Amino acid sequence: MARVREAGGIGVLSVSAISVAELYLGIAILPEGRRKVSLLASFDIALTGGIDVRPFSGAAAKIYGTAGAALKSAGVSYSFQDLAIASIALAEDRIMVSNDRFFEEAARVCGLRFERWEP
Amino acid sequence: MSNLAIENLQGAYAPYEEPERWAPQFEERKISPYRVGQYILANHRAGNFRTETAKDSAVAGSRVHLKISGITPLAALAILGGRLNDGPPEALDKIVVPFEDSLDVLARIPEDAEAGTYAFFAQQWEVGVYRQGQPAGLPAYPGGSLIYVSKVSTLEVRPHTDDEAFWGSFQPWPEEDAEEVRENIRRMRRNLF
Repeated sequence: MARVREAGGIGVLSVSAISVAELYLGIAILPEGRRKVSLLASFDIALTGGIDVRPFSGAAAKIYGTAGAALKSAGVSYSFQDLAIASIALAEDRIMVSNDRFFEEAARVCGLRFERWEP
Repeated sequence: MSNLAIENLQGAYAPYEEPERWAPQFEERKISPYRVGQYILANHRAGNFRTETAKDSAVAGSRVHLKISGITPLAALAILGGRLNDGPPEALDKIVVPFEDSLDVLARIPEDAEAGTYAFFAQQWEVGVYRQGQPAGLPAYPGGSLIYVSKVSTLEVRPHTDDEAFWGSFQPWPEEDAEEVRENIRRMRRNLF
């Protein structure tokens, strides 16, 4: 929360639709019960309360191809999801915030603007 | 609700309402309003006259950079913006650019702006004949009062978010639950289901 405030508040942050989809699936496959309902409700509130969700656009899809080829040539392995997330940030010229090493490689190879934030 | 406003214009310009600052340029350069009108038409037809936003979404309370290009010097230039379906867009400024063919504009979106799609564009028209430094309000020639519109750009405006209200609106996930969701995602990526 402190890092978010430092960055300018929740209004300047966005999350990729890919990450949101993965989180929804991560919740959906939890065992049924009150805990699952509570986590889902909390996530829904966070998304509707002001977090901007960025879609995987046509421009991001095009960048996915060139960035994926560049990473392959550089010997960097990647998942569809991570490269799709990086492609959204590249297409929209946004700063990618994560603690995942892949995005450091994407910064080095593809020019992704990246900041490492530890949880 | 507050209005959209222009916070900064980068480039040489003069307010339209102060003709004493731009009308002498007309006389010095000996350019007729008719010719200015033809330049506007040419820029419009060639697709040079454009208004572009630097980003496609912004949060209420922030600023957006507009680039207006293909401007015809010594013609009136109005910069307009507003939320779609909210009635006619308002003129944010009305100026005359004496020399340059492009202009950088910083527009402020008020904190209480309603969310939605906002459109930004510019209009140009030849200023018509003027007498003693004042626009006479007459077209320079029959049919010369046409207003040409630039390419329009849109901006998705999201509502301003109160950080304290946001963080207080939902229960943060307990760490062990968050880790279980993360592990589910990792397993899903490895196709372990």
